[in-house]
Amino acid sequence: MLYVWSKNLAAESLMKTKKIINENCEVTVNLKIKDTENTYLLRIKNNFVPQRFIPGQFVMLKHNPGSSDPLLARPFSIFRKFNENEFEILYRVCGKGTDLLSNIKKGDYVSVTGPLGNGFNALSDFQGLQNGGSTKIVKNIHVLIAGGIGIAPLFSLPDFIKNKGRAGNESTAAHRVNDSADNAAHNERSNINTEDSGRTPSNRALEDCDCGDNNKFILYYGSKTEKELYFRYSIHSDYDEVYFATDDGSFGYKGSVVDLLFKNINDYCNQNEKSTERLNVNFYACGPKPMLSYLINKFRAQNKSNMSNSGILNEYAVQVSLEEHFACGIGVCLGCVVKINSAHSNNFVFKRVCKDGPVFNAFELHDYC
Amino acid sequence: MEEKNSQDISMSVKLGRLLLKYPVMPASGTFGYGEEFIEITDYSLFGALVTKGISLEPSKGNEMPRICETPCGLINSIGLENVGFEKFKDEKIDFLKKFNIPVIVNFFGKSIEDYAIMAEKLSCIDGISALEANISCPNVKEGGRAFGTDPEIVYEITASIKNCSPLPLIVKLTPLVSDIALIAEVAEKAGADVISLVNTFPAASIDINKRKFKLSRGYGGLSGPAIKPIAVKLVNDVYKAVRIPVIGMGGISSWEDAVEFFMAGATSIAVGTGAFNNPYLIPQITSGIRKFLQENNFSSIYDIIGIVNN
Repeated sequence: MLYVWSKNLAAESLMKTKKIINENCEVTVNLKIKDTENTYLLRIKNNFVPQRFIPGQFVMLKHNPGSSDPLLARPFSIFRKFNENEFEILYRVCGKGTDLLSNIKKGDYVSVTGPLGNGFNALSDFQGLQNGGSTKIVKNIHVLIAGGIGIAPLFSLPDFIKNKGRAGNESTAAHRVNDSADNAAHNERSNINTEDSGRTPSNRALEDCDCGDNNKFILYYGSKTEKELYFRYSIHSDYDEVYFATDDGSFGYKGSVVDLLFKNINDYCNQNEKSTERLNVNFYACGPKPMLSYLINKFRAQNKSNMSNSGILNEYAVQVSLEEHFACGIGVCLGCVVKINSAHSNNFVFKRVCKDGPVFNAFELHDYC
Repeated sequence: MEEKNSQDISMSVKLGRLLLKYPVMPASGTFGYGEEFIEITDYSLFGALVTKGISLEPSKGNEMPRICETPCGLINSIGLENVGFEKFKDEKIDFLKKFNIPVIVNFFGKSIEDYAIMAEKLSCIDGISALEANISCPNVKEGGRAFGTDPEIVYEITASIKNCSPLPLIVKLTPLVSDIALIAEVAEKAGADVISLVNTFPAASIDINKRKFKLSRGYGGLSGPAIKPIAVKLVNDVYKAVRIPVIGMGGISSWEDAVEFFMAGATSIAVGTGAFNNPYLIPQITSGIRKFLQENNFSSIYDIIGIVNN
């Protein structure tokens, strides 16, 4: 008798853990972002997602709740929290689903499931580099690498890291981010140096960074062309340094953002023995598959060539957010797997991008291309 | 006229010896091992929990791409990825047992002997209420044709499973056969306790710009609303041919869809692809049907089962 009762209790407590919502939510904004190619900002009313999500997590959105064509919801990275009761996604029209989504009007309802997946791991004790004496002051350098619309899951990361451990003080961050996006929409020009290096000076030096800790944020942002560098005139406010690259050279460095990053890679990967600081460098990336594949290969080569030196990035140092087609988004359909190095052999195991990712450690990916 | 209280309406059904409080369950392969959906929905209105198909050895499954969307449908070619019997026994069944809801374990084999061995092994695990044999997978020894397309093999598999296991046996049929009633009759004769149908329909989609199949294996199985009318017809064919109960499935996305399957002769129904968009679909179907029965002055789900043939 007692056995049955305790069994029931276990079942009941299991059923009460709500981590993910599925609701029809009102759209409050769905606007094409000025000066971009078919890129939209969608703001959705919901009080669960904005308060719970971690950058890198996503939602499944269905613009036609209850309808069968298109049948499946589409995954979108959570771009940012707008306020306690609204969150936003950033999307580029690239197919039937996003085309239909772009026609959704303010006041319409979309079906939202989320927040889903694992976001970026932003623990400051992550120890990106394996060397250094423990007596030194640890300086955390967060290097974000975005390709085009791949900025979406990364956008909230600096604020998320800064606010970590600052419970109950979220409002300032939210407002500041709001400003930056609005500025982008108004195409406000700031003093940008688009010389060959792609380097743009930030007006916010590390010393007067309001975070008051040892976090430094650096953004490498690339795309095909200028119009796909979203918020390019305002995004500096969140970073200590920003580097732009475009394939056609229309903005910043001409070429791959990955190549631009690797021009400076020794700044991040080599510790200065004489310095009183020990660098703890973490890389976070999201972008199209060829970009991520190139990035991962470059990091692998970097680690190989540094074998004898001290600057070897450990397995957690480079996190990448992968994109895939999902049917369920919660890990049951097994339609979105990626090959991960097996712990026991040279072989691989399949992991689910939606449930085990979408953020993975770059060095655990098996032949990602 | 006296209106019935909706809670007085009997929703429980019997599938052979297996008693379900509610006649709605997830379809195998769309519910994992029960560990994911629990983060969104609760299982209290689920008639049963149905696992992803298990085989003796773990299976990695197919290369990507594994899924593609078609009008009102989804083609999948997952490749029967699963953790294998040992890991299921060690790591998955304990979680499923916790809910006090019948657990139906779907399984498959590469040969008839595999099915018998699996049935015997699964019967030794505590916490399994029924077995569901997936006979839609390829019979490797017979050139890869699905087991479920040959009546003699269906008989042999069903009989050998029943020989090895005391658990209620559900035989899940492939829809792509010329006479599904015959296959169902054979399974019944061989000792099946329940028939479930339909599995997905073999289907393909081609990317005309790449001039290639969209899925890595070329073809996969079609599910979703696109197959629903075909599934309703096949369920009715089987209902008319056998005395054992039928679990109906294929594109159910609403309680109205579910009622069609009951009226076609299903004693219970399962949802799969529909729950991807609406994780609350199972409880919503149960309450929708209950309301429908009440409004139409029925007192039990049994009042509408097979009603189109009465």
